[in-house]
Amino acid sequence: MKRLDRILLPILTCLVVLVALLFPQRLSQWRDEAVLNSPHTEELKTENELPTQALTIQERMLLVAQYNEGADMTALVQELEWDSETENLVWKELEGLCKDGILPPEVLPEDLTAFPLQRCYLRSPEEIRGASFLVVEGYSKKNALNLSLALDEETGAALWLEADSPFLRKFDADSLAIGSIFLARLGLENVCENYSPQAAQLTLPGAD
Amino acid sequence: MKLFWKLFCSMVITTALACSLGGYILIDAQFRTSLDREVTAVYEENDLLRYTLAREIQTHPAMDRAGLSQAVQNITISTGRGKVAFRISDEAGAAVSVNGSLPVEAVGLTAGLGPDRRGWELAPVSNGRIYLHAASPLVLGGGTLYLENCREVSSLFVSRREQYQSFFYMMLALTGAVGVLSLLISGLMVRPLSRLSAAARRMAAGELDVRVRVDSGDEVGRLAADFNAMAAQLERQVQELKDAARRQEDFIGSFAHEIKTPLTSIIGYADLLRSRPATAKQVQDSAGYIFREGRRLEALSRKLMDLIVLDRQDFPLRPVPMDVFLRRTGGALRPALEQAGIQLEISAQAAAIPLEPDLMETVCLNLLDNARKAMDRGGRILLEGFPEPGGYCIRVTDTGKGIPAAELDRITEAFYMVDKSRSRAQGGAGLGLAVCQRIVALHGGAMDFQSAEGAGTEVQVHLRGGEGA
Repeated sequence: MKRLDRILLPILTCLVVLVALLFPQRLSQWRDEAVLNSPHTEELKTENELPTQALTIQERMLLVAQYNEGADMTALVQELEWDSETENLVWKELEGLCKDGILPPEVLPEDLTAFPLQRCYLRSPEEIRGASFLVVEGYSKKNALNLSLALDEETGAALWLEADSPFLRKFDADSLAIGSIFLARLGLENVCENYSPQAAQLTLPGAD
Repeated sequence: MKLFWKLFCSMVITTALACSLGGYILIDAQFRTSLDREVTAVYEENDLLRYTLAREIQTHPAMDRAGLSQAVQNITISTGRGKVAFRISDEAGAAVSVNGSLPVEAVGLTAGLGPDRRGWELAPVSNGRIYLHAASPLVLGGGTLYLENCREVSSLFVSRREQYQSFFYMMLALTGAVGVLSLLISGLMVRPLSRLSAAARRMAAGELDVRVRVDSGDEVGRLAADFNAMAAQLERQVQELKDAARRQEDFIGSFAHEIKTPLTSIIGYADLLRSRPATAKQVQDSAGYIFREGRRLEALSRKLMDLIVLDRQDFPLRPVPMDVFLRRTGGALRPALEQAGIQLEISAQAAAIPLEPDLMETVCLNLLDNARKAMDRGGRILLEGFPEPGGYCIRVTDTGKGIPAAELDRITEAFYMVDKSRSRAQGGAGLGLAVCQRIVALHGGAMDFQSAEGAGTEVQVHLRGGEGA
């Protein structure tokens, strides 16, 4: 009995240390067994539909810019059929851009072939908010023109624009003027940070 | 089991349990949080797809399963992880349309869903990977289809397994380190107790002067200090017991000697008278010796009785005017003193002191008698009484031959005599001052002796209470 008393506590200590070493992982595995292959269901609520929390124009522009720069975000791209309404919307916006001097008139040749229309829903990974855009890409064989345009699906306004052709005349519009007009069309004020005739860096007051 | 091992085991057990619990909570909570985040993400992807398809169905009310299948093919969803595969399945779990490759079966999850519930499950597949599989209902033409998508979450489990492996090795190292540290700490904590134990054993062996070092102010330090205090008290009491035993031995020895001497004389003279005819003068002389020695024995027994009785009896104290008391007491001895050529001066101030007058008279007479015995050829004795702070002082001063300083401490011991032959010749037995000290102690007072050889002795009796208090 006395011998048992002497060795009982050391044995207990060894057992406790052993259990303390192995038990945590085993406990996690037991909990996993209760979770694996076991469906967890919940009621589908209205708020589980696509979150429609409104984004400002600035935030939408930022989202498009981040997407084009390859940022880590959720993007759903849906190929859409062209319809007359969408066609009118895109053509009207291109005409408006030319009229305001943002694009030279030659970017609207009659042979402009539009590729399939895409709806692009973008969502920032940091917050459960997103916006939907219509992405149009076109090509003019006559001018070897590549045109890329992203329209805000809610307002129809162009938030992203890229036009490139080696055969067009040099478009010598002032970069600052083009940028300012582009933002003014969206109802945004801007401050010029850096400027050269070829490129201007504009920031929006109050935006991060 | 030794306290050292108990402390060691307790510390190791506590550390192991605390670390284990903490590690489990930390790792598992991190895993659950990551899993919740994955569930949220997979639901978000599912919501996005469902919303897009629902809009297609809304735009084309006549859409059938083939049209839906076409719409599914026109959708691409990508995240930071890459392209997301998804599937439309019917109520039986059969695939209606698939975009990408979905490695999990539908039926296990969708069977439990209705038209208004969504769900998820963790589905391990044969290659060891684990997928988070989500599904939600999609109503098409009055029927319910299920939109499914999934995310691979094997990395969560792998990451957790790696964390547990790291945790295992870390905890092993930590437990080892704590074990070593516990040995040191337990050793440090137990060391003072070991010293105490060793000291207690030495005390038990008779070394009463052993003490332990007090290193700290904690409980163990206090225990060590208490042990030292106990040892000091024990040593003092043992010393007092030894002194008392020695005094008792001395007392018995002295008593036997004081009894034996007169008895020897008495037996000797009685035997002389019995053994042969004696003249009238011899008879007279022998009877005289026998009478004197008998009186001496009587005085001895009376004083011994006083010593015994004084220890066992309570005496009521009453206020006594000290000036009257001292003058009366001194006056009783004045004729005898004057006859011996000794001048007695009495100077007593008035004060009422609580005392037992008969006993205190014995004290005064003893002191005056001792003063008388200290003077061979006359001299002067001064008996004074005066109040002092806290009580009253009786002082007897003589111009006798004094007491050696080395013997002053022992003069109140029973049967102690400075000059034994002289004391016996004067009828003394060495009990007078012992009786005086007992009486004064009964009054709560104390005696103080000062003496210079050849110059005289001064005895002060300090009494408490009364007007001077």
